[in-house]
Amino acid sequence: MALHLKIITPMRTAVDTEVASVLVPSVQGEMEVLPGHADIIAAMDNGELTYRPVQGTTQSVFIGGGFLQVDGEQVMLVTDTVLEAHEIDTDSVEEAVAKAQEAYRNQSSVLSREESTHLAAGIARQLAMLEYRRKKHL
Amino acid sequence: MASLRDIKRRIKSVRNTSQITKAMQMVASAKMRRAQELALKGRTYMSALANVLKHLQDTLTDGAASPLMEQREKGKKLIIVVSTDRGLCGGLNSNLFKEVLQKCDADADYITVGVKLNAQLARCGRNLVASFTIGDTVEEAELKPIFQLVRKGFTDGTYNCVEVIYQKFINVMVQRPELMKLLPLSQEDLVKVAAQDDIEDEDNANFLLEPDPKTLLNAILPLYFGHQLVQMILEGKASEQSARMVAMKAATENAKTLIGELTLEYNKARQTQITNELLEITTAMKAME
Repeated sequence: MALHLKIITPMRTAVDTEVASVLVPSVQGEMEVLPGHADIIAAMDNGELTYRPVQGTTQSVFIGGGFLQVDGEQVMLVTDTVLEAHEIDTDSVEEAVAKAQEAYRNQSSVLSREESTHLAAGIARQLAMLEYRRKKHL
Repeated sequence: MASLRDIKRRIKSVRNTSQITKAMQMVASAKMRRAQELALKGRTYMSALANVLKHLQDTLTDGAASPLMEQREKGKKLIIVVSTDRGLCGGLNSNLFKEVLQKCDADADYITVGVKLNAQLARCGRNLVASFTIGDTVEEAELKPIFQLVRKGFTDGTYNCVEVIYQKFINVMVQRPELMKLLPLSQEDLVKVAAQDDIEDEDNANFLLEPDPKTLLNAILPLYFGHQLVQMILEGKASEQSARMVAMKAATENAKTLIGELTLEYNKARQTQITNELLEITTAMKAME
């Protein structure tokens, strides 16, 4: 028995394959989905998603939040961002983080609550991206 | 009959116009490919989100709801009209406007995306609250003011219903005006959107929810609502570019036929002139004899 994993973003269907297991970063910690898992809808955190295809070696991608739905054998992950390690450009991300942190510090009084939450979420996502990249290449 | 020089001038001007329309056709077809791709890819994402949201709804039994789903009697209707910023796209905008007149209430408030229909709406006495211009790439930053306006209007009770009317992209030749309800989100609409794609679906209301129903709902609803608006604008863009491409192609072909006809006329006129000159010469010769 195998699971059918689909990762869907606004731009593309990033992954659509038969897998034996998936390890996802849920907001309450990592969670592994194996065949026969209970049906669940869960919110995802930024982080690494690892899946083991039925044939071939374990693959991993970075996901930026989103939602996971397990419905029988169908595992569907809806997210804004899916990146592979080589797609993350460390320098430009680092630069973006520095800029965003600067803006966050200097203008926290001017920003509305909504804007600062948005900014903080952006920083957290980019930091997680860097973390993932580092892990993959060291 | 028009003089030779006049005809020549007309041929030249028609040829210039046809060069312009040809160039516009090429630009539109390049833009169309991209817009079309974005619109079609976005549909899968929308259906997936709708699918998750529907299951979430089914599982929620205690009526936990977000302010975005509240059904109210009081309040006005807000209609977002997704038109284009530029013309020269065939009957796209006038078809959309016809649909607006038919299906939308006269006393509703209106927001336009794209400025082309502003004057027409004003002429019909519709209350236009705001108008936005969105670039071809549909950036998040450009959409923020719209979201804020819509969300605020809905949550503070000014509006009880938000609808969007846009040109749905069917294929390059066909675009159909469609009226969609954006807020409040309802079960039937979710089912409709979820069914657009080939994601397998059975009724299932036994999902575990993590971390808890309220957090999930509050996270996924704004996302869904936002993406739905983005999706409709993308569809509008794809429709605009394909309509423009088709219109410009027709214009270029018309120009070609026109040039053909004018050239024929030009040759006829030239022939007549030569014949006349010959006649004059021979008459003169006869007279000399």
